[in-house]
Amino acid sequence: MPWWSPLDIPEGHERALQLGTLAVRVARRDNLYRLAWRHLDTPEPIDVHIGEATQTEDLGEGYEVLRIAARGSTLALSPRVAPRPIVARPDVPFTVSPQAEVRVYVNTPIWVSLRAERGLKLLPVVSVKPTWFGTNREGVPCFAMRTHLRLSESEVQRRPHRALAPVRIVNEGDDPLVVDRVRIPAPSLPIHADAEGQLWLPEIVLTRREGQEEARLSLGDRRKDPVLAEPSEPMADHAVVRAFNSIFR
Amino acid sequence: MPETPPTDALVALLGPATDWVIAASLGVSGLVLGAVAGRLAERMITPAAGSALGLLVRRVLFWTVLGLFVASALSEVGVDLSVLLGAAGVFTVAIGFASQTSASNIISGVFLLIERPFAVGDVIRLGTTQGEVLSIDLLSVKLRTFDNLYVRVPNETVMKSEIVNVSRFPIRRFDLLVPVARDAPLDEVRALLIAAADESEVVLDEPRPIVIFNGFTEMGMELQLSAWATQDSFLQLRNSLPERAAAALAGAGIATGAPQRVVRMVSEREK
Repeated sequence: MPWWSPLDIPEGHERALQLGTLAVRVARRDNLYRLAWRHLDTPEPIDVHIGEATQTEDLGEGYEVLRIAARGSTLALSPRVAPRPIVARPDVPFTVSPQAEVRVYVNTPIWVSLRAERGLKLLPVVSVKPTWFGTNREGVPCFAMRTHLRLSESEVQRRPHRALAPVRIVNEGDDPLVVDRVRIPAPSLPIHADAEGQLWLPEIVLTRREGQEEARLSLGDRRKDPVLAEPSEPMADHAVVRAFNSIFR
Repeated sequence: MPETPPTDALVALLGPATDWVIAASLGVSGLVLGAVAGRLAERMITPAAGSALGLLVRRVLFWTVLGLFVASALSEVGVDLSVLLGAAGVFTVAIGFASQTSASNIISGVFLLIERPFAVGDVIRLGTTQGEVLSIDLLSVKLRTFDNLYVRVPNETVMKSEIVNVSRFPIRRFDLLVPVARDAPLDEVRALLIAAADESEVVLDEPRPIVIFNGFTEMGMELQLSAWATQDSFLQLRNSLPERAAAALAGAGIATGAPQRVVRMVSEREK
């Protein structure tokens, strides 16, 4: 069963969840949910863990707590897109030759929604760092992510709490394009889930035209997998975005 | 006594009344036209030049149109405008002498609206006063300081002062001066300070935090840790970064700089 199935928490029980480095404890008592969460300093695990926990008032250090009044015993868990674009920096910048294209896979972090009736909390599955994409005078606030950009889908380590984003970079210019970071417009993308429980973002196509500093962003073929989370922001068709930082720096 | 024809009597009776009706119509027309012209001009100007200038143009247009119509109305009911204008000229000179400051403020206000060094809602620093701009009016700029004081600064003063618009750009850099002892390992100190900045949840990943060597001082060496944050996180950065940096250096056993004096004792015999 995928981790985004409804989670039943009987009265007086507590559940512990770990998605990425996010550790969550959900306790229910007297029609009151206590949500406690923190990001662990340990390496990010591959799998999602959901289990029973012993109810305790003392959570230890570093936990933030939210209490939600709700009568039902079901906590809805669902993936959500990041509220800001994600800037993925490859460990090693790569070059796209003139008149060539390359397809890379980026394992992007997602947000998890914990909902008890009307009470809702959104949390990132890994600790994310804010960053700025643009010049000092204008730009876009984003989340930073260092990653291995993989050229093949089979090389990507599949993690149920991350969404894989295929990014096709097309260089129509006559000079090589050095890509040292790529901006993924996460809030404008839906999250799909395949039959194996892997989350996907639709293919993003970034086209750099000859003599242009900006890249044209479009979406590739629509995925057939069901949509688990809708975009939180609309994206203009064929939006012209500054998608490659190295171009305009 | 010759008898007055009935039509002449009617004209004689209605004549002044007609003039008053026309004058009243002119007054009402002036009000309506002034308001319409003002609103139209405001709509055209506001998108390009901002709401403050739009409002100013609207008011000026309204009063100008209304003034012209009122003058016509007065003329219609037999008021000699030349006498009024003559009196107005003398009055204007007197007012001009008495209101030099106000006129200067109004002109400065117009230039402020045209140049737009700040807008309502921006945080600015004028001399020693820093606060959020509440309004930009014809005579003055109103600020709310962070200790919740209401400050009125005359436009003339604003124009003559150096204006620092703190919130114009979306991101901001905080510079932390870090004195370290002369024998401190510089490379290690740099790495520790960058790591301390990187660990902060509000420091932006890009632009990268940097450490600059400012020079030797009586405290030892002075380094500058510069880190960026968005405007809304700047205060949090300013409050948290010094603590993080100090903890990182203390954790590595690196002493921060302290004033040093070398005192050389010379005995009488050595002299």
